[in-house]
Amino acid sequence: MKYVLFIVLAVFIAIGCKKNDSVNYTAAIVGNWRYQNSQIDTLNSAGKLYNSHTVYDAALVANFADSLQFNANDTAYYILGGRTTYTTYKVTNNQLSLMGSTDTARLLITQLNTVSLQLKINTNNLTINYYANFVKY
Amino acid sequence: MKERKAKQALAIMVAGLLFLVACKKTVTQIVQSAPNNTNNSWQSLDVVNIIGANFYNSGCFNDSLFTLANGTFYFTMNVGKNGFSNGLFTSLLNVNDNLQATSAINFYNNYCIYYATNNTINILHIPYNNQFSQFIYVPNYTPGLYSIFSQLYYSPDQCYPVGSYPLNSGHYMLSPVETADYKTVRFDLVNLDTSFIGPPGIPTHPNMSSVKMVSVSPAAGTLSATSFYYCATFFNKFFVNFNSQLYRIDTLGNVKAFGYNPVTPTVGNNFRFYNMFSIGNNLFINSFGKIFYSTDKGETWQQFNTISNYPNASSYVFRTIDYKLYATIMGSNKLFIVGMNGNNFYLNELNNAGIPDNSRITSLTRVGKYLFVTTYNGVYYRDTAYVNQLKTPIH
Repeated sequence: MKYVLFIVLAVFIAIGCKKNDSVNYTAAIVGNWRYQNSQIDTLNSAGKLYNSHTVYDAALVANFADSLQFNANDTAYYILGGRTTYTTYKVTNNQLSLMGSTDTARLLITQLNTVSLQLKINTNNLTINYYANFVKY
Repeated sequence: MKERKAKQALAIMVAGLLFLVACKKTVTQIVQSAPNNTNNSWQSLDVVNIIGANFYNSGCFNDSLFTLANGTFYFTMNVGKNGFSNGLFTSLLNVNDNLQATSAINFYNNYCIYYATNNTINILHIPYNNQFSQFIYVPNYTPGLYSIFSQLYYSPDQCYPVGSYPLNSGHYMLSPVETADYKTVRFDLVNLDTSFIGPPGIPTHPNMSSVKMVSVSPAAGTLSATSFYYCATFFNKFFVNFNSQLYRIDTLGNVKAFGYNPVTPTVGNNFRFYNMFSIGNNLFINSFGKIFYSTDKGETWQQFNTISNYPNASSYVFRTIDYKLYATIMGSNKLFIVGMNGNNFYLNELNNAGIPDNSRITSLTRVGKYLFVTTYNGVYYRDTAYVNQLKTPIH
């Protein structure tokens, strides 16, 4: 009986102390992020990955930002070449909504920790998954 | 004994449950607040827009906004601070709106220069918000020569910074005057010595001894051809597009003739010079979306890359405000902010909600904490903290 009780207790402890994968995205995204590179995954017609490469995408920098700053309220600042622009933003679970005055971009946060942020950007192309990688500064 | 063991087991299970609950990580989502509507659009400057006029240009003196609309010169006081409750809207001077005078009016610190009639350029000096002195410049003509004093000017939504009569080094003005053969042209370089400023409201004439005649001829291997007149001033020099030629003229009257354009002097390449701007010590010419730049204050030029994310940018007008570069489009209410990355410009469209669709932006002027936009459909303003709100998050 003691062994049974011990096992039950061990299971509880194991479950109780299991590392929780949930990330508080809202809090964790606050800070300054610099664009590092992009991971571009190409899928075949069956939806399977057959090519993945990492590049510095100047076009993304031009059309998005080379630095992003999320403040704790609701403003995301974009910095590029001496100019700063902004939109409001909202984080819901792992979805990042960037809200301009007329359009909203909805990006998936596919990785977020204290040093790196990865955003999946909608390419409107079913055979390409595009991820932009940022590092904290 | 069994009962005791059962109690022990129950106690351990309860302890385990408590441990489980204690170890669970809490995830909290913060609900973002909606943007404040008052900060989300441009506001009409009603105190001015009640006249419903076309506004051609604007300038800032002290804490007041000066605007020009339908041939009338206005100023609105106290607009740079919080709110406009004490904004005063006053008509200062009626200006001849004919002869394309509108596009020729330029605002500088305490000066407003405009082409007034076939024979006169007026220079207003505004020492105080509601006072002005007035020069009237009338050139001396040579009998038998042809006057070219009257010119075709770009409209204010097509050009920046001015279009015709910029003030150089705080007190020099330049104007084409006459020609014998429509090739070599006499310009007058006028030194507007403020010691000749008369009492407020009474027109005076500048001392004609302060006028220097400057002879300007096309570069070797090129011909002159009638075109729009454009003149800008940077680094104490005039840059002139006249008779399809590009010239640099300094305040001593020295002329450098570049030819049809600054890179290939004898090849026209549809060079049309109506927009010039500086970023630090670098000087730029925008010619139909083709960008030229100079790193030696306009003495030599190279071609810059085109605008990367807006390839058809032929009708963009670049405007520098407080060391930031903005762009407008001829005949449009669209507003862009411009970033530079290497040898490329990148444009991002900004929120222009509140500026009516049928407006044509003619000028941008910051007064205090507000940026003012004049259009052919009124004057609009926005707190500078919110001007750079993007229209689309990712272009």
